[in-house]
Amino acid sequence: MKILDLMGEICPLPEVITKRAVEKLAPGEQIKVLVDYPKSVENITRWVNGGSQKILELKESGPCQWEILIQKEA
Amino acid sequence: MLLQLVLGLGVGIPFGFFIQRGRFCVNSASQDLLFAKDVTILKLYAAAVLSQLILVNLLGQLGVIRLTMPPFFWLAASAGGFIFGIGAALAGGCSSGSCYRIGEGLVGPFVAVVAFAIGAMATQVGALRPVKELLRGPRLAEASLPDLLGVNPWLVIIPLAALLLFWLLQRPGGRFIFSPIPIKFGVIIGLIGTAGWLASSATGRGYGISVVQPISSILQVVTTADIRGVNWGTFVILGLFLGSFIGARGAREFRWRTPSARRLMQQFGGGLLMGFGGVVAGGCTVGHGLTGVPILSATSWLAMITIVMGIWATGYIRFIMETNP
Repeated sequence: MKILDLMGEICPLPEVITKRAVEKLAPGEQIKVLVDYPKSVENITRWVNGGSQKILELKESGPCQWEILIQKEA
Repeated sequence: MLLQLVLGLGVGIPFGFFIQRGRFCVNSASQDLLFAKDVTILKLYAAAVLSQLILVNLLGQLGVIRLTMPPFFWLAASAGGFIFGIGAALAGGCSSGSCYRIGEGLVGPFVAVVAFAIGAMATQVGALRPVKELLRGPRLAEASLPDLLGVNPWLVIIPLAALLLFWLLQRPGGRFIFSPIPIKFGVIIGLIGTAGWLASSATGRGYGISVVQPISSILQVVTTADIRGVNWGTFVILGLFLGSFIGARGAREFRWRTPSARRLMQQFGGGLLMGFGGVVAGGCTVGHGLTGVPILSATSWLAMITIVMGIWATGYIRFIMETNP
C-alpha cells in the first residue's frame, strides 16, 4: 500500500497533494495519508468523500496527528 | 500605556482564540475556493465583514468612533496586495493565519512571521523604503467606495449587507469536524473587530485591528528599544498569540511541528514578501480585509482583490509544481 507522508505540511498542500495522489490510484487501490494539520484533515475528509473514492479509516495516531486510509472505488 | 495594554490584550486574546477556532485565514479561504470550490472559511469571513459593515459604520455615523479612511493609493494597493498574496501562499497563511498558527506550535508560520516583521521594517524605514514611496505616489482624492461612486455611504452599505446576508443564508456553511459552525464564528470575529474600533478609539488610535504596523513595532522595540511605534495594536498582536495558544490547547490542537528545510525557507521567503507587500499596500488581510473592507475603504477593497489574485496565481503554479515533482 502507498503511504503519503505529509507531516509538517500546512494549508493547502496536504489536501492538494492527497487529492492529486488519489486521482492517480488504480481502481480498488488504497493509500495511507499521514498528516498532522487539523484543518487539512477536515478538508481531506470533506473533499475526498463523495467522489469516486472513500475513506476507509480515519485514525488519530497520536496527539494532533492522523492516519487517513483512502480507497479508490473499483 | 496601561490603558493600551489592558484594552489591547482585552481585544487581542479573544481575537486570537476565535481566529484559531474559526481558522480565519484568507489564504485558506482562497485556496479552498480555488481547489475544491469550498466556501466554509469564505462564509466565516463574509459574516465577519457583514457584522462590522453594519455595526462599525453605525458607530461611525453616530460619532462614537472616528472612521479613519486610508488614502486611495491605487498603484501601491494593487502591487503591494499582489506581492502580499504571493507571500501568503508561499508562507501557507496570510497574516492572521500565520499568527494564529504560531499559537498552535507550528514552526513554519513562526519563521514566516519573523520574516514578515523584517520585510515590513525594511520597507517602512529601511532599504526598501524608496520603493514604497515610489509606489505610493499615484493616488486619488476619493478614499472610499461611496466617494468614488459619489453616493451616500448607506446606498452602498445596505445593498451590500443584503447581498451578503442573502448569500450567507442560502444554505448552511460547511461544518468543521473539530470546530463549530463557521458563520457563528464569523459573527463573533466581527463583534471583536467592532470592539477593536471602540478600544482603539479609546486610546486615540482611530483604526481597528491590524497586523502590519504592530508586527514591525515589536521588532523595532526588540532591536532598537524605540517604543514610539508601540500602541494599542501592538498589545492586540501579543494578545493574539496568547489567545490562539489558549484556543489550540483547549481544542487539543497544540503540538510543536516543523516542516522540511525546503518548506521552511519557502515560508521565510513568503514572510518577507508579506512584510514588503503589506507595508506598500498599507495593510494586510486583517488591516484591509477585516477592518478596511467593512468601512468601504477603496484601498482596502483593491488590496484584498489583488491579494486573492496573488494567492491564486501562486497556488495554481505551486499546485502544478508540487504534485508533478
